[in-house]
Amino acid sequence: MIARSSSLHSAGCCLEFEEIYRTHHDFVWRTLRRMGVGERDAMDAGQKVFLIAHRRLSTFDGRSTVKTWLCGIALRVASDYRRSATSRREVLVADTPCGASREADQLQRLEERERLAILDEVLSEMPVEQRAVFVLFELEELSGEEIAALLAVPEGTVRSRLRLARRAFSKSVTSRQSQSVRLAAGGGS
Amino acid sequence: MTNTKRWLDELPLESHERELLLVGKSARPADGAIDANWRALCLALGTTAAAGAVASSAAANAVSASTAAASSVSASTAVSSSLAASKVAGTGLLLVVTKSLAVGVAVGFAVMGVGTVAVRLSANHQQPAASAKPVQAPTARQPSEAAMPAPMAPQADRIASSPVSLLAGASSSVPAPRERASASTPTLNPAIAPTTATPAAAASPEDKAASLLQQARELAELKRLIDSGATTEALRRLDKNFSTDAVSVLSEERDALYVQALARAQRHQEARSFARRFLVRYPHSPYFEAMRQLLGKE
Repeated sequence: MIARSSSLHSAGCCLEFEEIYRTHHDFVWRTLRRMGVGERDAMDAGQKVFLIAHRRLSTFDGRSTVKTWLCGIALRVASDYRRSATSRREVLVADTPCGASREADQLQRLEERERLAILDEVLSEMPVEQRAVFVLFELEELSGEEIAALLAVPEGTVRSRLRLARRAFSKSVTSRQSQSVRLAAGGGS
Repeated sequence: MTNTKRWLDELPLESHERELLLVGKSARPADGAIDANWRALCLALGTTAAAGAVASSAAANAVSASTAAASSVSASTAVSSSLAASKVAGTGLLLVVTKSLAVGVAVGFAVMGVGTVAVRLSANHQQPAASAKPVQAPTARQPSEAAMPAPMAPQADRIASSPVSLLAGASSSVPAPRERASASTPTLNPAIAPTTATPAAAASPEDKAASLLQQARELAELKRLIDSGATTEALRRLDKNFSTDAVSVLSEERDALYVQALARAQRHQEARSFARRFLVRYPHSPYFEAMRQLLGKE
């Protein structure tokens, strides 16, 4: 994809844009979701990301990868979303698993959705700066250099945010496990 | 940072953190979301962006036909003639989508020719922006299949019983011809300029009439599939149609069918998203209220 970036300078390369879209759609979707965009709004937010990308395609200079370029747009869209959602006083965490599980093999998917809901809850408790670093490094496997460039911070800052994020993540998970144990034991009133 | 390992490589296999990270890494949007999103992007980008060369060719045909037909109408009577022609052509177009597909309609198509259709398109472009209905953001969520209004796209049943009423209703208060998809249709995002189609060799009127008739037949078949519950097959065919025939006089019906198919297939989020795009793209559509109802009953 990086090798193709120079040819992206010519705007209107529809086929290339479709390739970009299909290659990075899931990544953009995951980034939006883990950065707080609700499941029901992730599709629209994803479209917004690619609309912006399409508009700015001619300005893409190839200095970063297409993935990190899209990631930057996705982070801003997610940020806008969180702000507007806050003004609407919406709850951004933990989509309730929908009731679409009528087939037997849906049980596993439901469990996954529950885990995802927990993951989102845990992430939502982090400061957004730590959350971004954690999501991009641990889940999307961007390099520290890429994240530093994307967030316009020194690598040392990325490292420290990651350390704090991991600590917060573990603490939150442990707390939830303890709570679950108490509830299971009947003492969680 | 270069020596920082991924946490996943360091966490114990049985740890809960690892479990959550793994599910986070493997999360994917719902099946079909990528294609549905692409369809919606096509709408927002003015369709041609997604369809590539084939779309450009089709758009060029529509635009060139529209230009040619419009030039034959005198300036003083252009609007009124176009509106009248649009009603006639519209009636023919919608009639042809009915299940019967009567021969008389086909003859009507041939007589009217694509010229009148093109004039209608031309009239659409002269429609003042002020007459556009405001698009209201949906407030509720999760449309149910029941919330989806009855047959959307060709609206065969209603049209069959009262072929003119739909058009009359659309123009009762404001004589607004239906806005059609074309290469010059404004995009959802005004900052994004639609790709301009390059002129291509114009097909003969007979070829265009035959093509329209074929498209109408396909839409009628798609509607039959959706009504019978074969939504997967309908969506498959619609996806194929999008990729091979992105710009068409019947794009509006096709897009409405797509929303209906998504709703019937219980893909409500995609249906809702696509319906929103539809409202923006076709503010004068006879399906406008149906789409709004779909969003309003979410």
